[in-house]
Amino acid sequence: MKLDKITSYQYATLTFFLLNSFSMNVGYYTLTNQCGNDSIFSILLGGIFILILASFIFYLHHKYPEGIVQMMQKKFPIFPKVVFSFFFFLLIGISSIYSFSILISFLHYYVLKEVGLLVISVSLMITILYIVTKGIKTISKISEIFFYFSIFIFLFGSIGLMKYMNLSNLKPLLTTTVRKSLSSSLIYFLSSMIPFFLLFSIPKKEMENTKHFKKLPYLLTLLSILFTFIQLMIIISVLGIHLTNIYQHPDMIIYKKISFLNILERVEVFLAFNNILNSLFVIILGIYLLNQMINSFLKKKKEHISLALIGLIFIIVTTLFTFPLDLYLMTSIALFLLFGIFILCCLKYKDNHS
Amino acid sequence: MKKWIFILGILLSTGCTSYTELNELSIVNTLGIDYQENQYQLVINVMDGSLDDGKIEENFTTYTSQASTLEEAFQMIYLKSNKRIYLSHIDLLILTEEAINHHLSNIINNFLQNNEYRNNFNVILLKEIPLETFMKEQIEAEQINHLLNTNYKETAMSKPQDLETMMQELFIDQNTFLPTITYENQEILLRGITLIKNYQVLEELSTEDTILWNLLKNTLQKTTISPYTIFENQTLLTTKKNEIYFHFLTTVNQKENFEQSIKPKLLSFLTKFQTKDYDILKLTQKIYQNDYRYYQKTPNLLSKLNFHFSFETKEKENYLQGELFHETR
Repeated sequence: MKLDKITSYQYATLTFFLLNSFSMNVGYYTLTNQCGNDSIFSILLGGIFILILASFIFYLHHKYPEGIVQMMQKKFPIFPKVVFSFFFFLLIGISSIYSFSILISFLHYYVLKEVGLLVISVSLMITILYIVTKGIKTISKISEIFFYFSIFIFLFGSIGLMKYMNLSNLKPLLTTTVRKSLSSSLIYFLSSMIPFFLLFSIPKKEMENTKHFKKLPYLLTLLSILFTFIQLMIIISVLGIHLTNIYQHPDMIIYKKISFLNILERVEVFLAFNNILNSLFVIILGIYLLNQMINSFLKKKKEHISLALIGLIFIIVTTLFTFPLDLYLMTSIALFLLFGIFILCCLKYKDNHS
Repeated sequence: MKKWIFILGILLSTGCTSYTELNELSIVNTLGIDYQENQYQLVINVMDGSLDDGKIEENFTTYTSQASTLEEAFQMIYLKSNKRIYLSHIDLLILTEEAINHHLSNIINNFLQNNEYRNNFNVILLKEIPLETFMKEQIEAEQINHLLNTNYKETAMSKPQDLETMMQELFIDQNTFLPTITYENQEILLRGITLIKNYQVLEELSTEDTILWNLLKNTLQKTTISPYTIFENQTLLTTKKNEIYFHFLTTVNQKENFEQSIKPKLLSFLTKFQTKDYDILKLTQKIYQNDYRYYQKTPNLLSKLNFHFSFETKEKENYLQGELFHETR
């Protein structure tokens, strides 16, 4: 094992965190408001779509070993390169800013209630920028370390909530129309589009032996879907569908109940760390990719200045504007289409520029 | 550059930007809400931590305010308190009949909107004594909660209700219940449970009815319905279209005639509320969960329900050998 390379396990843990961003960026309430108890089936159906997309993404990543920025530089002449870069930059920028704004309002509402939004966003952005400056290898190592932590938090939360579960709250099932179920499955599927695309920011040359690069990420994609499914089941069975529909983060509401032997109580802030991690990696990789795109156009690389600029723009935009969920979903659809066109163009150009 | 960013980060993320000392907090222990003359009356019992010789001492203080909205009433408290009202540790919410009848939905909205509450504290209904008078007695929430829990476990003549379960029940069919207390001769007195229908107080259940209700709901742990003492019980409920089957696995002091004695009482209890169009056990919700198609195509389902009871009674082991002393003599 080469220490300076990203292992397949680290790549898989990154995939895991990126996919888990669904709970923060889209939220369980989006599904439950649409199709009630049947939203647990939406996760399963959407999960199947995600697994199909995952195999396609991992195949593409294997076929085109360069990262997305290097691919654009190598394959395209200047005009398509500028057009693709502009649109990718725009879409990734919007989705990352959206994730950032969701994360800081989550922190402000549930964790740091007395701290101002600006203070939270500045300190969070400094941490993110610091991680990004360390490069993709450090990012993936962080994801590996926090993966164990995330599993522990998930198990801790699930065990603590077991006594509050009332499985009859999950009934009745199969009461919504096929159209509604399909539409919420597609929302879950779309939520994975931007996270999967962000994986293309990692060039294959940064990875070690690529033999296991299909199996492990695929397994952890499956694990992420399973966790989402279990978590939604726990939420509905504890709160009932009516209360689940009210809260934007029903998981935080049920965490408030956890108490071990009346000694270990009020652990929701500790458990909220999982939500933070799920959102954090999307923002980190988003900013990493945006920075790569900017620097691919600059002759003299000024990574730190461009990073500081990105951070500043993120803070200003999140302070001034609020981003609706629809915008994030539209961005996902646009990215899905743009990525399709990009792959077709890649097949057409076949390194003719180089 | 990196060094400066790092130093700035450390300065900003120390978490000390808006700290509050414990002695600057008024920790709310009990919160009471009444509604009189088109105004909310808010009474809170707080635990004030005062710093005395470097040690924090606990004092109970009662604050009262009146306003046309609950939010304003909370703000008015600050006219009297120089400390931050900390709602995260609230243990008991006391509501009066007027507050429920006029603005229960507003009260619930207030709790849902404020993230500081934990929503798993008990809620009770106070009767026959003004809220302010009761709150000025400064009875600790823990004491009332303990009374409720002990009574529930030992007699089943009451049942604690927390805010979140109450909200869940109200969201299902706008009906719920609240344990009821009053205060007489310097003593807290439990008065069973009060039913709430469409966000309005409906009626108070008698102690025997409360026991039967707990028995049917499978929430009974131990009780006495003269001459029987129930030591253990498990109620299994099944539904088949509009037929409701209750199966009781009960351990009693004497098996003889238990079934014949309890069955008519249960039937009369259920039919009484059926005729009042009050789904006391949320049975229609059970049918909704178990047989959704039937639920959808049957209007007025509650009035069509038929009840069936079956018993599997076990007598509690008695280790006394021979006859009791006074009988022998």
